[in-house]
Amino acid sequence: MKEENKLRGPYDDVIRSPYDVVNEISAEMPYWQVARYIGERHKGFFSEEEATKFAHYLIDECEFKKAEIMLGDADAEIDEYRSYMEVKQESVSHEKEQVGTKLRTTKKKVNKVNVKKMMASLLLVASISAVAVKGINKLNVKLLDDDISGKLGMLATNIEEDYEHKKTIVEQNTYVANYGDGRTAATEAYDNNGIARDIIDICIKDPKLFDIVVNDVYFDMQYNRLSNMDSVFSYLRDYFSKEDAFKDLYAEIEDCEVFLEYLVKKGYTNPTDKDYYSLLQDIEIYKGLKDTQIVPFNSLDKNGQARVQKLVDNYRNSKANLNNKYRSTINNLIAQKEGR
Amino acid sequence: MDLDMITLEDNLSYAIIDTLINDNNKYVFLVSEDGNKKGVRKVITKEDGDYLIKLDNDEEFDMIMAKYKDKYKGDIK
Repeated sequence: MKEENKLRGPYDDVIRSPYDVVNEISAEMPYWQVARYIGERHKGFFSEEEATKFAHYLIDECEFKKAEIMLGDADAEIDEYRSYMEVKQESVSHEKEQVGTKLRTTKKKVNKVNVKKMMASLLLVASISAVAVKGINKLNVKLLDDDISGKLGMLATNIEEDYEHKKTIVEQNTYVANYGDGRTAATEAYDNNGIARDIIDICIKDPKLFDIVVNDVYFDMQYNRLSNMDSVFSYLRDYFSKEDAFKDLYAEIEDCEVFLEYLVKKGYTNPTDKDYYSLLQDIEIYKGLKDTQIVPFNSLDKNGQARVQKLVDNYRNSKANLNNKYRSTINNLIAQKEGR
Repeated sequence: MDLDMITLEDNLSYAIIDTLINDNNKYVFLVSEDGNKKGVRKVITKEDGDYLIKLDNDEEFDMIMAKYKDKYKGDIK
């Protein structure tokens, strides 16, 4: 791949090909990411403002068309928009007084097909012009609704703004505990120990919620904060390993491998079982992810996200299949703990 | 077919591929001979003859391009 075709993603450690990025433009994609893509793709050509306007247009269109058409056409549309910008730049003066060019013409024979091509190329620009006007109008309306002013800087490569952006992403993806009984934790970010402590507090007060809470955290953490899983497990491991009554439950969450061993030991699955194979595969993937630099889900590249999603989906499906089997055991353990 | 050619300030030769009149202003649509550059100019009349000048702003550009599009709506795919 040529150097100029490499794109820097929203995170410096993620390099995407233009093809990948175009495929990523969808209704769900935050506009600043589209803007950044456009800005980087056409560095030095688009102004920040223009790129942002076009990003808005793309996103509006994506929302309207539910992404599908735009996924295929985004790259072509960007090129078209670029040619529109070039012609506009060539045609509009920013000087107060113009001398102009004296209209002196000569005649020249031109092939009819070539004339048609010339006209078509201008008509294409004319079409984009209409679209651009539409996009800018949409932006004006959108500006009223969205607080986007603070996000305009996302196009720039300014380190401080980048840091702020990452911080926002992390905060947005931070696990917000839902205890399953309607109580929801405050929206501020938890630190690792905070999440673990939360789980412990809830479980001490109401052991029945243990599996719900742990499962919620486990799934959400895989989706959103893979990097924190080890810390949380470590904290929980330390706490639960000291509590005999929780040892079996602790075994479940210690890590995927222990969980699998636990299921085998309890007879809920065996090495010839499809679920076992599926879980084993997931564990391998998870181990692979652990060996790499763990980052928030949204900053993983497309393949990374797909891997994690598959992992979680498979795990969730396997877990759902096994749920009925192990839930009775958990209930028994809780009953024993409560002396019933 | 015969086209009118004109040399602009960048010393490139452009073919005048179309003209449009809007609000008493005459606009010419230009494409360079190699096809790489395109532009629109407005015709103004001075004492010593007609001159081509650039458009006043982006809005004028978008307006005249929209008129151009309307002119050939459905003709060229």
